[in-house]
Amino acid sequence: MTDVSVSPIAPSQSAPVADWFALLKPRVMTLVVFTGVVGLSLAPGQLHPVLALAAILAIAVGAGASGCINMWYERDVDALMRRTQQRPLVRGIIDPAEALAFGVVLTLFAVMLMGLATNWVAAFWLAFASAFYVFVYTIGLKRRTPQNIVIGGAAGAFPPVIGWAAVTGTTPVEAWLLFALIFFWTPPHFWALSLYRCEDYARAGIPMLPVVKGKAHTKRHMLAYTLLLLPLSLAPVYLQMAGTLYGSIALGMSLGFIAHALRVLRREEDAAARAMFFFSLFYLFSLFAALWADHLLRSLL
Amino acid sequence: MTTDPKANLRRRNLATLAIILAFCVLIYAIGFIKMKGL
Repeated sequence: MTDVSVSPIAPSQSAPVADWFALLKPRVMTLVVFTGVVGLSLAPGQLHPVLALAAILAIAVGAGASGCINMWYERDVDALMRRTQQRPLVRGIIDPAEALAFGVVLTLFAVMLMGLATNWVAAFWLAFASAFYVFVYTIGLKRRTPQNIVIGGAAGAFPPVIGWAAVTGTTPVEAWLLFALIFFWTPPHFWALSLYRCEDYARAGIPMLPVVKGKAHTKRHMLAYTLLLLPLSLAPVYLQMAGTLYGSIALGMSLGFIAHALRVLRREEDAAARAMFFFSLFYLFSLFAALWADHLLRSLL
Repeated sequence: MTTDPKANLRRRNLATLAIILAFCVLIYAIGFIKMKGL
């Protein structure tokens, strides 16, 4: 007789906590939180540190929850791509229905927390960004059009607007300028990734620009966006949101981004696209860090 | 990270409990700050 021992614990319940945390896309969350914090810091006015902490927590959890719902919806194509094959839902460690419930509950938690801690304008934009990421980007655009990340990129651009609204209860032009910086940065960032992961996207049937229109077409578009980012990144100086410290860093970094795009345009190998992808992360981080530093410096002087 | 299902379940329950407690403390703090107008 064969002794078959069945564990009374369901797979999801026995999954390591780290796998539940992985559902929240912690690496994406880092940049979201950082840009949200900068929006919160640049906004005129004061927010009690505990309330500011709650607002940051709400942004982090809201972004993570959207990522979790995205993973739930994308689990079929994630299984086909090398980059995403190790995700908990693909490995069958967590039950999809539980992951969906986890994401939905966390989204509600984040929006309620934002509303209670700060104001309902910020809570509205947090809910809007989450809904946009799930319904417009993930369900609506990602599998249908090569412009998926151009329009869908708006979802990732909301955190500074949310941060700003958390302090002031309004979303003035300065907040939307921070939005625009991330919005126009997103296409060259993701297209750099999709250039060296092109086969992966093609296998999964995701119509990324290099898959549908070819690599040369994508590279020209990437250059166009980096050229557009040069004046846009300097706009905070014209609007007197930032001074020369930010201006010089933005100018140098934007020229560096253009140089990367030109290098990608001229070269065939994946290494150039990979280098541009990592530079793009550094670029956005530098711009927002410089805005923050410039703001701190100006408030001290 | 352990592969023992029981240990993982215990860890998850503890993590959930800690999050609920932290949430209660946070909501209490928010209420206090808002009430006092700090």
